[in-house]
Amino acid sequence: MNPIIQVKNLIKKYDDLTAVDGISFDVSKGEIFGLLGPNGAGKTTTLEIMETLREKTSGEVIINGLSIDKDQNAIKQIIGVQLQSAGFYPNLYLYELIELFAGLYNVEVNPDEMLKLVDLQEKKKSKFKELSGGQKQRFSICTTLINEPKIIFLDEPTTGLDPQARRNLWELIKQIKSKGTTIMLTTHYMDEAEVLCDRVGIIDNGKIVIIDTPDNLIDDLIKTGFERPKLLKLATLEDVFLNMTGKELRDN
Amino acid sequence: MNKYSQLRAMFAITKASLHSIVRNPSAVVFNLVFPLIFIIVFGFISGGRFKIDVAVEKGSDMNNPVFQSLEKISTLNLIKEKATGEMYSELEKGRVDAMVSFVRNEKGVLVIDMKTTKASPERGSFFKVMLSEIIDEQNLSMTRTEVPMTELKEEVVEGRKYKTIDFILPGQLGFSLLSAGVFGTAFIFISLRQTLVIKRFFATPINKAHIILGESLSRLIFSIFSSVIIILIGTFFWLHTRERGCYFYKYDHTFDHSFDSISRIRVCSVGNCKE
Repeated sequence: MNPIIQVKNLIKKYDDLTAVDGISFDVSKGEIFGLLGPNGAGKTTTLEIMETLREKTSGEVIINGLSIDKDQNAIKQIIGVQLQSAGFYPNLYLYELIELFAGLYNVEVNPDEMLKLVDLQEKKKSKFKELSGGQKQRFSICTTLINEPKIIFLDEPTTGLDPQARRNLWELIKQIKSKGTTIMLTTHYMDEAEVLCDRVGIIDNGKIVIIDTPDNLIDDLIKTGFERPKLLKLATLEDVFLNMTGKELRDN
Repeated sequence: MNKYSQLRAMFAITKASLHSIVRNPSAVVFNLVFPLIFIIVFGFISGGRFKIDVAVEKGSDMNNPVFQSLEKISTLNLIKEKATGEMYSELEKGRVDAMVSFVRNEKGVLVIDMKTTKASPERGSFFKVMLSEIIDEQNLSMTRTEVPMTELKEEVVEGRKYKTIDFILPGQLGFSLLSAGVFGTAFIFISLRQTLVIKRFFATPINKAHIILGESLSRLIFSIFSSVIIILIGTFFWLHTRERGCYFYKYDHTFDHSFDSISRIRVCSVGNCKE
């Protein structure tokens, strides 16, 4: 395995609060790595340090062989960043926003093709604020792909979306992975991690509790004799919901 | 990988920002409609002329050459209808600048009784000078001198008329600079920061200085553009109406004048790089 991201003993302190407390992990090229954890566990802080948006207190982060201490600009050119709650320049149409980011990344792109990747080509003359929640997230992901990044960071990409939109986004994320892009995402939905992630790290109170593949983690738990208090039915309420409302994306 | 060009990224921000400004109604209002309204309002204010209000007491003998001469002076506004008591109180308040009565005494001499007020000393003394000049002329003509001892030759030099807008100009200039700095730059960055637009920019390779430069450049361009439009409106629209001699004729000079001043304001504010 060839790690494209190496995080070693990363610490971030705010005054007397330690948000990230000695985190270490590697992410291999081409995998989807998920950081799981409850709200306030330090997922976003960790991600933002890796995205060079936040200063770390100590530790080391190496992305594609570049250190975030020295080569911030070089790193920014090979990563795509989707922020948990990003804003886009007001009053601009989607294709103009794509052009703006193309300029910011110094690349030539065809806005139509970019929007087609995330199935928004019909919305090219809409403004960001007019989009639905799922469309906003898809557009946000679209802007991360403009510079054909080696790694993309997705911070809670599906939070607040309906089940159809979540599934739609999962497909998009899988599609991006199939092109060889490494993806690092955070989520607090376990079903999402189970479906998407090759490996997950569970983070709590700023510390990594465990890192492994979702399958191994579940098997290990079962080996300890764990049993669900209520045996799972063959379907969940979400399955019922999707069955009743259809799997198609409700965009408009 | 090609070398990253900050300039190219900066121009991308400038372009996006320009698109955004043009589609933002408040920017258009502040940069075009507001200045136009200000110019028109201040232009009209400066249209007022210098007038001296003179009350003529009731029962005055108006059939005399002095009164007739006074009536011909356009600067004077002669008020004849009011009662003496009322006139007196107006005089005390400075609403009337002077009060005169014309009475012929038993010798046939015209006695002019003039009252001025401390509430309006300048206009009062102006009136006094006018009145004495007329009286002197009358008296002089009685002496029938063929060759006067002293003669006054007068010439008025053509110059730029003083207007209210000249007085207002420094204030507008200051306000223009203030609004350019505060609204044009500081507020924009506060709002971009709050909406996390800046944060997303920080995740791209552009550096902070070029984000600011890109934003400033777009505002500079927009400011120049709106100045040009305002100056063009001033030049073509008002000149056009003057040529036709239409309704605006009496104000046209005022407008030319204020547009002249305002264009200087705009040029200054543009020189300071944003609005």
